[in-house]
Amino acid sequence: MLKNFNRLKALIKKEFLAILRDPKSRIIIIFPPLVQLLIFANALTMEIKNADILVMDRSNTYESREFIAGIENSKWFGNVTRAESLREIEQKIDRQQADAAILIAPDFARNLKKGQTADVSAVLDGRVSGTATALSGYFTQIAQNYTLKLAEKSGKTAVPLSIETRVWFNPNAVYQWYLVISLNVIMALVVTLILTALSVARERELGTFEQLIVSPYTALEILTGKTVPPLTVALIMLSVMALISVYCFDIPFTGSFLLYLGSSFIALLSFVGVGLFISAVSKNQQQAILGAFAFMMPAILLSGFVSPIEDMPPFLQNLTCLNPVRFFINIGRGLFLKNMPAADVAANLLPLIVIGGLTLSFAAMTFKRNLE
Amino acid sequence: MNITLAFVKKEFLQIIRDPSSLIIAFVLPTLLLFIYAYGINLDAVNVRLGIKNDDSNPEIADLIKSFGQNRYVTSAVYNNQNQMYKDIVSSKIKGALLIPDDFSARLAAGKQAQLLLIADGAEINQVSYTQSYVSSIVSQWLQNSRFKSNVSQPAVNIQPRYWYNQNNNARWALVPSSLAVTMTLIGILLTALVISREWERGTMEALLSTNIKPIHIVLGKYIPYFIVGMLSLAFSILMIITLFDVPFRGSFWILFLVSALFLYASLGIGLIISSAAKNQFLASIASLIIGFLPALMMSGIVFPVKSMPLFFQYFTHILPPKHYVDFIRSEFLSGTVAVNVVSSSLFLLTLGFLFSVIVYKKTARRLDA
Amino acid sequence: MTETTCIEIKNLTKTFSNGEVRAVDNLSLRLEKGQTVGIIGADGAGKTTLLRLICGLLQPDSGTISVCGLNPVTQKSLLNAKIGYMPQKFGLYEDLSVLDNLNFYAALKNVSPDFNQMLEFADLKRFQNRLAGKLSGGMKQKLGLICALMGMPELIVLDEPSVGVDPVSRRELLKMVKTTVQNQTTVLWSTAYMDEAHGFDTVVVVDRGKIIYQGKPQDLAADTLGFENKVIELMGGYAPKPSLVAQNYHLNGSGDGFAVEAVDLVKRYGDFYAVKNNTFHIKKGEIFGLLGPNGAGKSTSFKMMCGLARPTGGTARIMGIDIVKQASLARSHLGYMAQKFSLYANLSVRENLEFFAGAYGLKGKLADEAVSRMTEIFGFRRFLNDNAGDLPLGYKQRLSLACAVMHNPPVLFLDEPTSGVDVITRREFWNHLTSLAQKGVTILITTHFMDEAEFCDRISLFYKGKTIATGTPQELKRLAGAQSMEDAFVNLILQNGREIS
Repeated sequence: MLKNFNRLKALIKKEFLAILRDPKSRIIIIFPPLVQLLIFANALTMEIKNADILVMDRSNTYESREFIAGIENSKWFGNVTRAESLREIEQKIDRQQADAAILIAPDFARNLKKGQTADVSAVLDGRVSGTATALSGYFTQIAQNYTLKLAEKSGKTAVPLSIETRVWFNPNAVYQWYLVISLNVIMALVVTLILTALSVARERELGTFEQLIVSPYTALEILTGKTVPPLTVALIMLSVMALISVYCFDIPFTGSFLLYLGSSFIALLSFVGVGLFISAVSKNQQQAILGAFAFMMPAILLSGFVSPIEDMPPFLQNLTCLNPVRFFINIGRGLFLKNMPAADVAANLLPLIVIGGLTLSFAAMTFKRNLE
Repeated sequence: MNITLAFVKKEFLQIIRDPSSLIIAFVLPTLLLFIYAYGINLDAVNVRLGIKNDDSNPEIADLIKSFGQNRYVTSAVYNNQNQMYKDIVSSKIKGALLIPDDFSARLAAGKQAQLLLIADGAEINQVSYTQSYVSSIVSQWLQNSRFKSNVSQPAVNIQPRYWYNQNNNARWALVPSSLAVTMTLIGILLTALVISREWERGTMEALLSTNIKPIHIVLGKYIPYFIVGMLSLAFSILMIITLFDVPFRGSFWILFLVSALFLYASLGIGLIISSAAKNQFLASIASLIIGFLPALMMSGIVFPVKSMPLFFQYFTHILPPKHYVDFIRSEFLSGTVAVNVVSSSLFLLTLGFLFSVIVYKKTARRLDA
Repeated sequence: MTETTCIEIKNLTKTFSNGEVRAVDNLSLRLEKGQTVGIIGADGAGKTTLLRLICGLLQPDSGTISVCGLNPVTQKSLLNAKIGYMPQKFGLYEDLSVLDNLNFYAALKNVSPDFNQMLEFADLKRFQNRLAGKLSGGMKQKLGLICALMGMPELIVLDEPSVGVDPVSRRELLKMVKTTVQNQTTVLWSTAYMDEAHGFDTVVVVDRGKIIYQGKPQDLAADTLGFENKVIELMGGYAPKPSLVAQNYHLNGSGDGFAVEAVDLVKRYGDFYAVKNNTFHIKKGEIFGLLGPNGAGKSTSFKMMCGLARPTGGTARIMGIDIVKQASLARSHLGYMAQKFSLYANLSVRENLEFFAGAYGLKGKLADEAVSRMTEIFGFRRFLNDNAGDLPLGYKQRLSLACAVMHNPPVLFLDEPTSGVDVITRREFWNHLTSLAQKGVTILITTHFMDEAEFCDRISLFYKGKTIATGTPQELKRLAGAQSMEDAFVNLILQNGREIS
């Protein structure tokens, strides 16, 4: 037993060296993911900000200017400029120099004075449909505020009904919190998958795998040797990223950190499993990296990070049950923000265990059986 | 010229021998297009909402019913408030609406009535959807309820008009622009390993001993993968138009011209990685981490470039996919916009040229330099 | 420099690792046109570096080189048009067919793509549509050679073209070069085969980056054996010492009986038999040689014996343990050295040694001792921290052997262990092997050096997947009616009809 442990240690050491010995690969494995976490966290948001708005005021009255002031004073937009003609609006939107235009009809003030609803047209650029949707929402809200303001002036009860919203777990609705927690998982996926997907394929292409097969190592030992180093690298990286999340981005960590570490371990095992599975079926490194990409892209896009899983067609929703990223992101959100109880964490761990178990045992099976 | 041709021919033979290149070029884009088309939904989001009603007024039952009838809301009525809260934690529901016992009484009395909506901030994406669905369902109910007389008319009504995309169909915008990520991926994947492989397998030494010049190697690597890439691109565009019903209002010539420039730049990234890394392991990691992630995240497909801090907005200009996204959305939905086509093309051409100069400089002339 | 000079080198120095390693050290050399020059020398003496400098593949630190009247540093592309170079790894695209490779190199060298004569001469015509990666070792070498010879270069530079090639094919390689070259063509041929070098016009002996002898091989000695002894003397001499490997070898449990048994081994691909009904029994402490031309099925047999390939039929046992049924246990008795270098190229020499020590269960002090012992015995000290992939060919072989014997296995499977190893080291290798056998280690070995075959206790001659003769070296020579083992080999093969399926 002790003898076996020693030889396992040698294998693990070798695998560590294979990943980290070359200074170039050491640098490229460790730094870019962390730097990118910082860049992405600061750069990316799905909120629409800085949109440039054109305003064409054909009413040109006190009321219309008051309405426009509501737009100008809003924090959502970038430049709000006046447009003189429809042609100008057409041209600027066409060239994407402006994101939307507001057209106020000549009868705007007249309608208001009559107590009728005044229509305002908003021209939105449907080519960038996400921005268009968001801007339309902003305009509606500005219009509502304007209604309130008018009502207040005339001394009426403003609104009979208000809906008070409380955003739990992220009271100020900071997008960064959402983003960073998911990015941690994605970075860990990228690093783990690339390291494991290449590991066996590289040895096979360069002929060293034969040497490993001829050695007395059992399939389980080879599996362990191939698992520990990437798992360790990724686990350390995840912990560092968790610290960065808490201390640099001020994201609360409400759950149990130990539970997070434990869950990370299991989630990473499932990533490793997928990577080794890809590696086991690849003949060379080109095929392995292709396999890694072919898994990674859908796994990231269909994880609920970009858009919610509930909105996918049922077929894809079922497919995401095979996606370890989905469950790990759930756990991340739960333990960071929601103080998720252990039972709920366990429910998300179960699929991870199944995925990891299946892929790892398949990989192990191919290691020694994969002879000519 | 002969030498370049021979090199190109050799690369083609290698491409055909290992089917993985062809899988990269034709199977991968198909897969990704389907995912972008069906897996990602950026316009209407379905929300699961829990409702706890403390008001016994029968009018309120109508309100609850109208939640059940909305196509974007799936509602569940709770009797136990704590259970509802627990379900938010476990993500079974994304929001909870609490109707207080004096709700209808206050409405009837003309006093301001209040609803409490709790949204799951862990999925901040969905909060604004939840808010706007609830508010529109409630105000619609109010218009038709007997409390209507107390409601004032809105002073201003916004009438949105979506140009180029009347129904503001998010798929129309997303699917063509997804090509930017897909083609970046393909460009990098195809080329990232091709030079490092020659080093690893020892053929570089034989090549360098012949009178082959760096320019031959560079051209010999660009041309075949450019052709494969263009075929892959044409294939993807054909699919977008036929399978996903995205209208194409631009010019095919311009589309292919700018796409060619974009591919030129993408291949450049892959070849830089390949010529700098002398083994495939390093090249693979680099292509993934340096080449690919920024393209996915920062090209403006999912995360709008304009919302980024100014510094990062400038930074995105060195990413070929950013310019391609700008271009292709317009080309599909609004037709050619000359000014933008020219500026996108100039950017892509400059980047592509810059990258190929680096590739040329990085291409080895000897084993040790 | 005169009209008749092909290569003129003055005070050439080339260092690696920031000047720590002087691969070529203040070397001067002048070679006339029209000669066939053998480059010989110890492993790591700087032969490959010298050849690469001549071809302009490396830049010198100092000194001048003139090749065919051109400077390889500044006029590389002009020069390369006049040179045919075959690197150690042949430079073939293994995923392309024979014909594709030829067409490609013909186009690069601006030569008309007419290789029929060459292909027929090299007996490759039948395989012209086969992938280069699927050719046997000897055929790859011939193909690489054809690529290098294309377009009548003024200078042909061949870096160990005959490593791992059987005697029959080796004669053919030489013949190919001899018939292609013209009067004014110069050939640089680095080799570890002394019989080969002895036949050249000039030999250059390189040692530690310097030239220690240049002249006619006949001037050193009239016959091959004498020549070999003279070269060894030049390189510092060899005196047999008790083998340190054998002395420190711990063998658990010896005794009688067979250590290795192959019974009716068959390997079939489709309807092609790579190995047909192969049966042999190797006694404990026996050195059993597996000889045969490239592509005869030796390596396939080897792979089946150590469980890398599943036999289509038959059984293989190591120390009585079935290699298929109890693979892990059987392998723990085995030390294996593959034909192709299969250690971790991107790990250092020390890390490779440490890994293989650990892999076979050596731990702590024992492992450290084993590593430092191997370092001493095989002379790895100056390379300890270098990547194994960057080692000179001979040192790669030493490292592979070291890793195979480090854990004291009772059975050694060595597939061409001495290919590419210098003469002295070859003698050392065999000193270790014979001493180990005396201690009771069983050795299954393949080789293309026929003089080495004489050291085997028994030999099995393998041809077209079948054993055509088995016996002691004396018995085989008698059977073939030959004086030397090499003649015996050639005769027996020819008797059985030289055609490879």
